[in-house]
Amino acid sequence: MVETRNISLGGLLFHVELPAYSVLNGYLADLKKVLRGSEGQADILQEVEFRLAELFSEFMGSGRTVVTLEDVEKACGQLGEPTEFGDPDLDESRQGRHREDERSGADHAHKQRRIFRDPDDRIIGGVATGLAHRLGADPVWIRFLAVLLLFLSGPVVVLLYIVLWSIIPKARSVSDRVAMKGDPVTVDAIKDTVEDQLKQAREQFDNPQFKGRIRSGWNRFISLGLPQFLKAVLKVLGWFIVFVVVIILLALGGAIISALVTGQWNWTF
Amino acid sequence: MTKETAASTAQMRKGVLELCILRVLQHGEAYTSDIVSALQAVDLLVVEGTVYPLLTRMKNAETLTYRWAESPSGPPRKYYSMTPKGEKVLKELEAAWNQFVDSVNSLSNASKY
Repeated sequence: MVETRNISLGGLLFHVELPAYSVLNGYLADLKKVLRGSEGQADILQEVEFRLAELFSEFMGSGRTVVTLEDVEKACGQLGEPTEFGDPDLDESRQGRHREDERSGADHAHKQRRIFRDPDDRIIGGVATGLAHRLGADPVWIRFLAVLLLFLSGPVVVLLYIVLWSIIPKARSVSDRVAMKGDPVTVDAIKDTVEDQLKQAREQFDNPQFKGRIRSGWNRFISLGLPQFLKAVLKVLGWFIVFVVVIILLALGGAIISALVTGQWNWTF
Repeated sequence: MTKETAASTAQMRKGVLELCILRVLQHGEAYTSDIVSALQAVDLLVVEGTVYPLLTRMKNAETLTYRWAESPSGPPRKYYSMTPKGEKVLKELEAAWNQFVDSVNSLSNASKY
């Protein structure tokens, strides 16, 4: 049994299996990134969506009603890697820029890495794993350090965590993940990552132990409930802090303005 | 084919793609999948991805125009056809292509320089 998601593609409704959905979503996100700033981006995306809809209807025929991972893989393979869509003229200037990046960053491999929160390996928000990728360390050490600091300095670490959580973007697309791990964003690297994700998704969804593990009571709470709960608590705390900061800023702004106004008033008379 | 020649061949394919799309359309309108399969049938296209940006660019340059049509199965189809300006561009590109072929061949046939 596999969960599905409903999507509208080219004006048609499709039921897509969840692993297939995440691959399709990543593919379109990467495509959007490649096309960003190029002429007629919306038209090209529309053309691609209609073509995907057509391919899915063709693959499914009249017998099936659900789009599977194989369908998505086949359709995306036929359309080609997102990088194939680039405008040749634009491509060249981009490659030129990329080469410069490589040259300046050649001595410091870390500097090429961009920081992202890693949704694949997270306990709360993926901040520790993101920092670990960036620093080239094992996330276990970052977490250990964070827990240690939690006992030493308490709320400061929690505050810091919340700030980092809100500042650092989540690695959403395949190219984000590639950049996070420090590999240059090339077709091969993207392909490797997609294949990794596919394998992971398949293992997770096929493995009955995985399903069994989350189903059983206490384990279910530890693996699903607790992170969800912590996340919710931290989110509320985060908004509360934002609220307080905004109030303070408003009060400060008001004080300054009133000081200016009264200052002017005093000066005039 | 070595890696170097594969890259050059891909560049050549990209270069003549516009001419080829216009040639596919010179006998009448065709929808996107028709264009793609016509090009793939003669090995001028490896993945479809390269076609869509080009179609959009040609449409914006007004060498192509399109109309929507219902499809018996699947989503509505975009039928492309050539504009008068497209016919002119096709003639120009054909002339350029023929000259190109002549030039390249004349080098291999030349006995002395």
